[in-house]
Amino acid sequence: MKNIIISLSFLFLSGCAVIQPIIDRFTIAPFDSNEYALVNKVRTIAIKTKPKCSIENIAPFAVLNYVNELHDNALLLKNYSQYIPKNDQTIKPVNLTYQMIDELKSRYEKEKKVGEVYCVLKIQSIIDATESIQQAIAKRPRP
Amino acid sequence: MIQEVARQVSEIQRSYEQGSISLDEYKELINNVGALQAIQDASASLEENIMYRTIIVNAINLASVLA
Repeated sequence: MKNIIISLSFLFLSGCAVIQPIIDRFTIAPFDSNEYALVNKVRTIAIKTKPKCSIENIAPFAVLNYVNELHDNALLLKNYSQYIPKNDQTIKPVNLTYQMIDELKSRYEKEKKVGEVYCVLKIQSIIDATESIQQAIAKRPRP
Repeated sequence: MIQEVARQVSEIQRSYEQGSISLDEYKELINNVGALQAIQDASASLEENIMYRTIIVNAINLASVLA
């Protein structure tokens, strides 16, 4: 009897180890309207910033103001998403997007003049990244 | 998706060859393409998990109705 109990204990223990990744795969954070709104805000600011890249020569601070707004909201999103349980698949993309925006801000702060082509390509990457995150978040199950 | 990545890389490459962006900017933008791909992969994986989860939840609901 003792042997049977020990054998069953090992079976249950290994069973949990096998089942856990499967459970993790299906337990995902529910839809969070605040998180969705923040991603949407970052994407919208990025869309509004893109046309400003071409007026950099006329109004150098026009883009910088938008970039600062973009950075503030991306940091807000990064901090908001960070500790939501079962949210790993959003935290990583959000961190990568924040990193892109941080690089853009650093360049505007470091250099007096940032090229139009760099600005357009960089902003387009940010738009694509946030759109991809937004699409995935929108499909999360409602609580 | 691969075509989109290839298009972006060729656009960055062309801009660098034309002298529109510096070497430093070129390296940064190429790194961004890699990051963008990682973001799209993570989002696709999340969408896949949501789809499987929905199928299982629906199957459980159906089973409870039939039981």
